Amino acid sequence: MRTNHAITVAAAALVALVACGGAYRDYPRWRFIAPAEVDRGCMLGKSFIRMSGKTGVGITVELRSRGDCNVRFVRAELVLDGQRAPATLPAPLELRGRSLVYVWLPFEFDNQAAWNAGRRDGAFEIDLEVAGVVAPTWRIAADHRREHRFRPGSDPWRR
Amino acid sequence: MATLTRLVLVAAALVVLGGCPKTRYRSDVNAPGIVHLEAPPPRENGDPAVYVEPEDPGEHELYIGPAVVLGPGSGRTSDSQHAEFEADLQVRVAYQTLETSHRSKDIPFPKQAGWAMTLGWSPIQTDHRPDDTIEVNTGPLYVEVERYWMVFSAGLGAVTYVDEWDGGVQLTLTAMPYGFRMRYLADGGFEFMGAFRLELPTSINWSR
Repeated sequence: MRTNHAITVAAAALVALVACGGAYRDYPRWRFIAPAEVDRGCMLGKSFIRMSGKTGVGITVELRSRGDCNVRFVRAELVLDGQRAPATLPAPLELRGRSLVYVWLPFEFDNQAAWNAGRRDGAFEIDLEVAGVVAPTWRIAADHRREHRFRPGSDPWRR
Repeated sequence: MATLTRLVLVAAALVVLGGCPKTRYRSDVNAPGIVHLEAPPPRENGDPAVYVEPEDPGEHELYIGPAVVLGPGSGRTSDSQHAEFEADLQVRVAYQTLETSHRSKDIPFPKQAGWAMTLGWSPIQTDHRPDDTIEVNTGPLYVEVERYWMVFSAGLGAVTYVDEWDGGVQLTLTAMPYGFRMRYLADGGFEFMGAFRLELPTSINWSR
């Protein structure tokens, strides 16, 4: 019995030694490097990057209307070293009065290949038709980077 | 090779094993995580801080364990009344895929059961002469295929003395750092060695 305990303790010590813990892995992500807000007359737009990974990047566009306002996404692309990754576009929106809606734009492409190839600077381009008029392209510069190899604050030994 | 050179080689290997501060090399290849773009974040409220962290895709790990193996031996001696001493330099290479990525303080060491290959060379093998002098010879080259689980391993492979050619098989049983090594050579017969293994756990990791 005593031998069994000794083996258990030794095995636990081994596991503890090999899996010492510390901070968890962090991941690269796309980040805007320019203001991501736009004023298009009857509506204000604001973008947020919500997901970024191997298969693409997803952004939320916040649309805030000042009054009744019809908005249609004509084009949304991530331009990356001359290559374009189009987003799946939402259906046209009818914003009534002072409305607030969030629109999901997933840009699906081989983001991992782009990362591996060092193509990490780009821009999100969004063309909107607001109240029946095609507005100038909304362009938001962005880059794909990892600021830390391990997630800050996830290291229990440093709390 | 001069005895002093061989001693320096083994000493240098021991210093490297004892003093090397960084033993895990991390590649940036495939660094992005796994995301599911089909659906937006579950609770969208316009908070700029909202971000859906990617899932961990796991890692590839190439384990490279340079080691000094040393201990008493018997079998290849001019005077069977004496135990001999042997020091080996070897490198153990193993590959595995990990379901979860390593954490910042994890020691690189194969966590799962797996297969490894070991290449080694013995620069020092003593021989007590009948006149009570000690001759330092160059030992054999060897290659082993090893089955391991944590610190336990069993390796089987080929061994050869190059200077005066002799060949055979080698078996190593290890519960690191302790081990036992046995050889059978066509001309030399059996050799036994208490193989104390000092290994520097080293790995190269890259994302799946």
